[in-house]
Amino acid sequence: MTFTVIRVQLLKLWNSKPQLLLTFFVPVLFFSIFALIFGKGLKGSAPGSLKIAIVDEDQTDLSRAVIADLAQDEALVVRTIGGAKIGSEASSDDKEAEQTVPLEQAEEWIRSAGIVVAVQIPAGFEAAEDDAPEGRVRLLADLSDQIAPRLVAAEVQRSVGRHRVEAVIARARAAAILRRLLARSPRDDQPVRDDANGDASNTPQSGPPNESESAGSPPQSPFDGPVFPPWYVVPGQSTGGDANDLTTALGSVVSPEAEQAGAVSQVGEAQVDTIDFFGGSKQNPIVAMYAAGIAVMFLLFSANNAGEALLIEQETGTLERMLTSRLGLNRMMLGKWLWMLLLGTTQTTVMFLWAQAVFQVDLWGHLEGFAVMTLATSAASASFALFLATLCRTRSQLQAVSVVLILSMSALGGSMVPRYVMSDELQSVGLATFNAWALDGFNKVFWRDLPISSLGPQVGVLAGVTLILGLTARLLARRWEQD
Amino acid sequence: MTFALRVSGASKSYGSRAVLRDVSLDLPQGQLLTLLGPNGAGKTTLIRSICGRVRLDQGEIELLGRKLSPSGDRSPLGFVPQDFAIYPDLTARQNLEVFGRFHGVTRRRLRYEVDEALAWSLLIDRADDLAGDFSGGMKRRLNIACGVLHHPAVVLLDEPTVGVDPQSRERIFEMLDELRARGTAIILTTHQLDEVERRCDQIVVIDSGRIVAAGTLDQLIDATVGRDQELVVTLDRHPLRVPAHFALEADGITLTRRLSQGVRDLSLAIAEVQLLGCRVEQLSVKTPTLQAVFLKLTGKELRE
Repeated sequence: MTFTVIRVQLLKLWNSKPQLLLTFFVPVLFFSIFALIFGKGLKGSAPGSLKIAIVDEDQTDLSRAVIADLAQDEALVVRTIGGAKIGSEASSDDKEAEQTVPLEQAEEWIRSAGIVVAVQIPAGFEAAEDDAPEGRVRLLADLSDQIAPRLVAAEVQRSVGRHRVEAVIARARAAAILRRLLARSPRDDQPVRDDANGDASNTPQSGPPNESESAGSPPQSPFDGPVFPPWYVVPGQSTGGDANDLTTALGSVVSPEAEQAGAVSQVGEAQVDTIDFFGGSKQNPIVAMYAAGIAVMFLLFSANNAGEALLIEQETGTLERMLTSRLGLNRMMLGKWLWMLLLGTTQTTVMFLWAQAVFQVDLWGHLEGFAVMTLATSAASASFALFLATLCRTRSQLQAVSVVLILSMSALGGSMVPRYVMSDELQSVGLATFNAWALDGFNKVFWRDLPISSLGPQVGVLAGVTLILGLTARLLARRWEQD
Repeated sequence: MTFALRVSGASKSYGSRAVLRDVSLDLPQGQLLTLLGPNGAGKTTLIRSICGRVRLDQGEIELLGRKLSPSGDRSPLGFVPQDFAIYPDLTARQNLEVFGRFHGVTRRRLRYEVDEALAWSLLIDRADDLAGDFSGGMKRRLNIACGVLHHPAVVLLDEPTVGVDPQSRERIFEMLDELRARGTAIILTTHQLDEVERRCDQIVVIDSGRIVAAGTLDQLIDATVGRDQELVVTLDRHPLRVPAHFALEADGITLTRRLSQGVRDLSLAIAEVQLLGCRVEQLSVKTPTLQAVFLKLTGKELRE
């Protein structure tokens, strides 16, 4: 008898194809979507997935070298004024020069979502002291993407560190060579003070070089000054120590032991300040984006429930009764659509009111944009729900189809996982969902503080979805008009 | 004469399957017409075509003397479907208000009409309870009330007494009587033949989409099984022979005989039965019924 119970359940499952779909197909589908998002499709791992701009106010060899490194990084696309995306092929000085843009331009691009990060290398960066303000690279970042700034910061630090070490080595070698030359000069009676090759006969000195001279008379050659730039800190010392103790310093830099101990990475490591371009003056700004994401997803579920009511009315004969009254199909569908619009608008408003009350999302400050986006999104959701309700013949069909579609749209459209973590390909796929457009619109309103006029593309797409799905639903509903 | 409803030559096919074949009927005001027929005979299709829910291939429908187009105004019609076409999560009052508005009852009159309908359907005490919590009989009454709240000239009821107890059924037919008394013309499909015999003005029997008989009960009886009474005798065992004028039923122990001469035939018949030497278990005299007419016209085999 127990076996019979199992058999009954098995037969019920087999006879209900929608249930079968939900049980076996949907989990596989969602596994695949999230595998794509978090697997090979993760942003930053794909070539050309991060768009940045560079503001080079230093215009030195170091800054140009850093720019070249960033341009050659496959994960980055450096945006230029000419519109060209300079990638790994950019290596000439000219191209490097083109890659820098004015700060105002970079800010404008961030505001319009053209880039996610602007790298600002301040004037005097190369020559700056370690703790001087101009010695710090600034990343103006759109922190709605929380991954990109970290990736760019790491790349900047790595590049600056490498070039500074190279500069140290180059200067040290040059100084050593010149000092050797000076030492061989007939009129130079000074002993050779240091040697980059670490000649044992020339024991390195501790303390400032040539103390006797420096105490009483000016240096006799330009190479008698400090060998290392002011930002250089001798590894293992809390202060600069004797930075001009060339052998000691160079040994620490280039010896395998030092490299193994991580000394190289410490040498000249850039201080990078990440500046929240949009959220600096806001309270809890990220929450607005998550509120929008969740709101859009539940908007779809609510609208779908309302659409399901249509099928319930069909199954119970209530729809037939309504259609024999004066109501008619057009008014009935318009009424359903308006109800879904009202429900969606109210639901989203309640969510944002809660977000304002509890999480300090600035709803009142963005009321117009919020109203436009909420209406546009709710309208699209309503048409979508009507479309599904008229497409499906039974409630079980609707349940299966809507679960698959709504969860897929929410996953790809950014309601579940922010789209910025997705690869460009997945982000493009996401644009086929109206979740993505809706979230982009809310993002513009709450995150970028853009005016309503900037919502044209989002509102246009949502209005198009509303119209197309609404008209399609009306066509599909003809089956209810007359047999 | 202006009929409340006229159907002329109505035909409808789905592919090669004809569901209505040249169906015609006339319904004067204040009359109750019953559509009888086996399951799948075309009764519901005919009602749905009158409601405008089925587009006829041929034929026409006139409502109060006005020819109806397939999508024309049918506001003088009231429709009560077989299902509980009400909102279970609304109260009885709210259901009536909703369907009243759908049928164009003005807001000013709505409250009055709703109260009237609640009283008429004996639901006034449960007016503010959810319809989903009602018994089957209460749901049926509410279902009917929702269809007639706007005082239609013609009401179409598709099996309004399915699944209700005798008390509720009685009340539902009383409600229909009251409607008829107001001058409302009613078309009803039902399998409650005893109620049809008692209350209907006209009976139309449909089989396979075609009208096979139409008229009053007496007319149908005269035309089919006749007015003769029938003697039915159940014996204790299979008889050795079947007397003249008797017929042996399929069970082998029941004999039937038409009594065309009334009491005189009855006494002769009883005498013949006694000669068989069997004990009589049961004896009855039956008058012609609608069921006999129905079975005569449509046969006894199942049609499902």
